[in-house]
Amino acid sequence: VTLDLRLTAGRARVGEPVPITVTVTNTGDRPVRVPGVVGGSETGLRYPHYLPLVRAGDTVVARPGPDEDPMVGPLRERDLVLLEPGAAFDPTGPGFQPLATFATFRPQTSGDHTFELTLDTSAPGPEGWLGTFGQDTERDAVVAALRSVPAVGLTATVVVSVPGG
Amino acid sequence: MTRSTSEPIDARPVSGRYRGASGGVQVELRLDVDGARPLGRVSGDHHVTTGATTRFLGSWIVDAPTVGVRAADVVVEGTAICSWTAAPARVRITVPRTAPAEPPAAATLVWSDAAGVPQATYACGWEAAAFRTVLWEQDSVTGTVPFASYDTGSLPQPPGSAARTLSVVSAFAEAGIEVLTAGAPNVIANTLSGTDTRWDEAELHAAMRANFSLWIDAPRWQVYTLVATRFRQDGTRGIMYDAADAFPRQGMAVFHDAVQGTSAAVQRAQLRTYVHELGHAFNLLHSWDKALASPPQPLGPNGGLGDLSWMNYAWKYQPPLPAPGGEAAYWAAFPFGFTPNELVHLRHGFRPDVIMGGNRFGVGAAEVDPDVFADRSADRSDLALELRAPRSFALGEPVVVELKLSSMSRGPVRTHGRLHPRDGLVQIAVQDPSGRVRAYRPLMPLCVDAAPHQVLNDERPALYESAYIGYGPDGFTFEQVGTYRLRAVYVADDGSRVVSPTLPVRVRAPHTAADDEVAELLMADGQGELLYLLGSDAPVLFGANAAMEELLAKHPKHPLAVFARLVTGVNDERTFKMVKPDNELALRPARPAEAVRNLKSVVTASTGDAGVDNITLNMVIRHIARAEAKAGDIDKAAATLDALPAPFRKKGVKPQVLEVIEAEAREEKARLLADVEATG
Repeated sequence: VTLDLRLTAGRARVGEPVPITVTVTNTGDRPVRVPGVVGGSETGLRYPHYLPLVRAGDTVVARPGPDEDPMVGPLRERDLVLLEPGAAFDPTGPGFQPLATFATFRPQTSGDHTFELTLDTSAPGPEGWLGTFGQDTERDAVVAALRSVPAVGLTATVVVSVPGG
Repeated sequence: MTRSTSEPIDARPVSGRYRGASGGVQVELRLDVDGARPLGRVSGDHHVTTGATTRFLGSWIVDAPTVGVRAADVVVEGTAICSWTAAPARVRITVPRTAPAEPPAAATLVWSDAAGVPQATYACGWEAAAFRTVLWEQDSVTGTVPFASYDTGSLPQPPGSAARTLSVVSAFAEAGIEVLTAGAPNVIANTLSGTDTRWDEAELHAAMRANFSLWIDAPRWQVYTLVATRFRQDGTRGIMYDAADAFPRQGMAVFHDAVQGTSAAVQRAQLRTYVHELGHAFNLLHSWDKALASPPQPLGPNGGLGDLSWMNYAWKYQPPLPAPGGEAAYWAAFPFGFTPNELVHLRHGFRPDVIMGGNRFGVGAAEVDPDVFADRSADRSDLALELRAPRSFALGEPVVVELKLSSMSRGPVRTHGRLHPRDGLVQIAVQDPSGRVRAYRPLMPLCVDAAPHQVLNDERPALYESAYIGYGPDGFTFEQVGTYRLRAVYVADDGSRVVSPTLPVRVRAPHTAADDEVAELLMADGQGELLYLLGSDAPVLFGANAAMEELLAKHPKHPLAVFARLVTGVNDERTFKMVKPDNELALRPARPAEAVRNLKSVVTASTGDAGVDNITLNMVIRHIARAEAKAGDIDKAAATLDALPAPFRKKGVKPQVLEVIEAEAREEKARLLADVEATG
């Protein structure tokens, strides 16, 4: 499985959102399930972890805010996308949560900005994935589906050049 | 809310909470029609007293009451949806108007059945301006500082949001909820934990049981807060830790180490955390999680992330582009309040859905609003969903809707073809004339493991399905005269939720005595099941079948008789299996001649605009062919299928649709011939 970030289209501008596309691809020779971004992913509150960060030089200029509380909704079977060999999907696409860190970030200065995203699915057990409410209905199916999720720790970056005035 | 005013006079608002009793039944009445932020609703709870005990009976709500403001009184009327019965009730509330300086007057609630016959009258004395009152007990651990208040004028705030001092109590007061501090605030010494200042859920729950002086394992309007040091997980600001036990949502905590500070921004964030966690105790979900409730709630703008609510996270705030998102944008626009849907839940949600110790977190936390369904963006799905139906239906007429899923892409789009609600991948919300919205639930949902995929392209740009949605486990969906609004959601493989535009459907009142009788016969006991199943021999539906026969005997030329023929004809065509009392299987053979006669009448009645819809008509012609085959006339059956597209050609259906119909007819013919050959 690979993780890829790229600037969606056009070019970045100071004070405007930077559209970033996230792509997860199954590069293996068998189908696997790969989770999309769900509530709690962005802060590492629960698996899958999708941890975003934006740097300008060595300075972190955007990162997720704090968790108000540990309340996370149920993980559903459809949150674990079945990827055939060679298939790809956007884990922030419809049906999943966007990455607020990327979606709300607007560069305040010109220069290179590094967008970084870490995907971690290496939870020691299913409990790290499940919701704190409403999980009962799909618990067994989700736990079974989690067996098809490969344990990965991947980091992708893309450097976006923000032109000056 | 429909409102009429005879003359303006200076009088105090009548909104608020009232209480009365009659014949052992006690009523809490919440009138929300005027005052600061009226929601145009009336709701109440009924309790019944037997002996020395009082138990909760049920809740009710009027979503769209009529409000008449007269010089002497205010009269509020409407249809109540009750938690304890599917039958709606009529309520009429009269409140004498009083001058602002005078004490509030008592309200009179007249409770009537659906026909308007009074069942009970309650004289309800004024109790409070708040719609609900909650006792709030707060303790803190040594070294922590409970939040007091925040001046919203300390930092820039949105225009239109007045600067005021907000505490937890006053923030809920603005929502119409009275929070009364209760019990002595204890300071809990942390000597036992030594250097371990972290708390986990089990410890918090134990602390609640030990320190919450009002604690009881039962539903009560009371909640406990512990200001603790820090959570087991760094950074967590608060928690409603009592999410899933038998009497949940009674306790919350705030973690001082994560929220501490005295700056205005920190104080503002503290206020948000306290109100947010208490919101969870009232069974409010995070703004982006509402679709995960049972039943699912509508999401606000941009998947809920655009909600300006206490229940959103400031840093996750994302209004639709190009508006900026993030924490600064949230605070610049947040007026320190709940969304209208959240307010409806807090003020008028059914008691078990809101009260602490009631339903589990996320269960019953819903007021479904079909308009809000639409805010869920599906722009990237390349699909469009449409609901279609005649503009109006006669009372009793089976409401069949057509679902059309089209491609919006220039290239081929692969998607599943499960458009019928019984497959669980399409949901239909129905708003009835009283304003109440319910999700239509199919009578017999199917478990769909693998949905067949279809490719939408130039040759086949759309998929079609028709669904009878007039009856489900909750009874008849359209049993009142009036205008309904329907909206459907198609869940695509990638989780996209493609939402249809709203379809208004009117149910007409009967015009003649015959209309009235036919409506009665079509809405008799068991008729819904018979229509849903397209006939049945089940003994339990004997009365329903008899009503169909009576309809055909008495009103053979009535326009709705076509549905009796449809049900009877399809059932005649099938071989019906039944289990006998001795657990043996019995077969009732098909009655092909009767089937052909009844179903051909359906086709004749449906050649114009009347009769059944096109998809049902297609199905009827296939049943005719099968009946002819069962009667041994294969050539006739084949000819029937050859001629299947003709009525649709006459109706002028689109060429692309006609091509699909022709192809399906050829496939059906091949299948039929293969079946005949296989069975000899």
